[in-house]
Amino acid sequence: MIIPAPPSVVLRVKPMSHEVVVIDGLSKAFVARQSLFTKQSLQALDNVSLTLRHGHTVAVIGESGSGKSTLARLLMRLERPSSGNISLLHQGRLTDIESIRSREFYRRVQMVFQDPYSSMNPRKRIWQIVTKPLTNLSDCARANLREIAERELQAVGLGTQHVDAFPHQLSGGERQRVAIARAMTVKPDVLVLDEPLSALDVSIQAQILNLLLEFQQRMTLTSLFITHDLSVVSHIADDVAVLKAGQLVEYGPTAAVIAAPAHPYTQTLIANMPGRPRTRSVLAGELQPQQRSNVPGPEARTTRAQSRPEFSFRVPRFDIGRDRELVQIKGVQR
Amino acid sequence: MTLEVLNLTVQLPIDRVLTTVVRDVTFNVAPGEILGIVGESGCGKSITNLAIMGLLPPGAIATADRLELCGHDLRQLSAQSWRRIRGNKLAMIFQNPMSALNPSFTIGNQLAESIRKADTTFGRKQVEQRSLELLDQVGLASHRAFLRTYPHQLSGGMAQRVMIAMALACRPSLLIADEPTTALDVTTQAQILNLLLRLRDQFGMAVILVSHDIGLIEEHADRILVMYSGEIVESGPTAVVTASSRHPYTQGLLSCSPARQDLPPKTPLAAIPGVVPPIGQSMQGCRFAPRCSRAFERCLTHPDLVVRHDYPGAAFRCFAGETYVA
Repeated sequence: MIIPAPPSVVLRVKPMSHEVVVIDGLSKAFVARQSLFTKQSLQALDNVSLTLRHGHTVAVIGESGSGKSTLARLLMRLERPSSGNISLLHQGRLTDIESIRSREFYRRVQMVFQDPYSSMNPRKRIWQIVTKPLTNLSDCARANLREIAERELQAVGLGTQHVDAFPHQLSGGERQRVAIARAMTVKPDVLVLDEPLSALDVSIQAQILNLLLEFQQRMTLTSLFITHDLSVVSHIADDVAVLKAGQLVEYGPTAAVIAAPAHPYTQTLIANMPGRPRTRSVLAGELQPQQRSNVPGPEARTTRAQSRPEFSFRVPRFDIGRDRELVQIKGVQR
Repeated sequence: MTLEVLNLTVQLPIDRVLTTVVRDVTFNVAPGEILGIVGESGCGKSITNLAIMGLLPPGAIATADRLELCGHDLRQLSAQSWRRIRGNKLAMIFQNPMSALNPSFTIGNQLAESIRKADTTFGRKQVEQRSLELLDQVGLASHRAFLRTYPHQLSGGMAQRVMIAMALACRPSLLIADEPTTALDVTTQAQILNLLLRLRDQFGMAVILVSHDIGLIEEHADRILVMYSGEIVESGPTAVVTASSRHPYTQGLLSCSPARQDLPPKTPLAAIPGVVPPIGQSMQGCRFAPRCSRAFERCLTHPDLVVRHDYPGAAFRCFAGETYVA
């Protein structure tokens, strides 16, 4: 039986564009002191390599504790890697981000955080929050700031009535719009989004997603989109990277990964997508390995499926896999 | 009927003025039924449930023509009788299990508390045995060492299972699950919801499942109640509401999910514009009209909840829906 390729697979192939960010062999270990004499280290990221191409969106998925946020923090230079490095296209060539001056670096790379409630100074007015990157990173005339804020807020669909408001006066969706406006004021090339939708209602998620799509297309943004929602991934991302316990287990073009996930972990994630049409068993179970080769795309994909002893904390391990439908998640994750 | 609610209205003091936040909510839950309540934040879902639990904040006033749980009238209960009902007949699990558990007591300790409440004659050994039994029922390792762990040592999914075990301790007739999976990962989400379904089958309890995600409600509930701005705007069996919805708000919620819209990637999604009007804001006419694409002059008067003639078990609150053919 030959499985016809879904039309979206064909649509998704973009011409190769140049690399903007190259993540190479990135590892990060956190060391936790348990007592005076014992230390234990947590391998949050283990030898992860990814490439962000110009104008492309790479989605990073995985559950909590898989190292998604650590990856974002390393890319934002909020943490230093234990080994490996990240390079950014700077002045025409790929430069290690550690060696770029921070004023220049943050003019190129900006971030939207998960929680729109805690990522803003509650004592500043919205226009001050939105223009903070400008005052920090450029020599913008102070007199123009309010005007700029008004323009930026308009671009994210907020009216002038919000300019003088405080963060607590806005709803979650409005605040996330402000967060996006703040990241976009310096016109960055690279945008890092760490679960920008997960604190919002589903109906508001669609609004914010539309806004991000609009920015992506208008400004050819390169972005790293961290999420645990696969339906969002298939809509917005060009490539998808699946992280599990710090390791990259699957990486490839979104349509190909979603249509024929190679790693069992990705298969579980896809099978658990809420609101997914009932074709799920076809996608997850009925594809035979030899038929997979008919689906275009997987040859472009790198897969590393070998298992690694999972990290354990001091707590005794509990096997929570009781229900038939459970995935085994060993160790205690926080 | 496990729960019967007739014309429940809740008023909250906001800036010292009593404002109506839930208006004339009527619904029933049968034994073994899962009722899904869906709506955005600020639609009054949680307030409705808190009113049923008798846990409204001080100063709030709840009035109802009828509010009965297994034949007990809940309207005029003393604090003491409330304590007897809560737990024994009625239990609730919350959105964030990490903050619902007490961080300074062990899991065993907190489980034992609710077990002793259910049966005061239990000795230490029996309590332990029952704790292990409950952990087993919710799919956790029934191991003594587990009883000695603290909430911070558990993952979100495990903490939510412990919360469910505590709720089950008294074998409630009605379990209210208020956004039980919002704080959890997708894989854990499916596990917790399947667990709720299994326990419902096992114990025949009724479940009220609250969420802002209609996709999740659709997969698990028998009946759906769509709330908007303190009112029920549509109700009915799951299949009817999701397949042939009459209210534009329900249709909007249904079409929001990227998974459901069969759109090529990177094209704009259908979204409901705007936000829910602030809680307690008084309005003339239909409360959804400002966000509705099908609003017309009749929407300036307030629509009533009308029963659908094609499906007598379903109702909706919309003038446009009366003439609408899907």
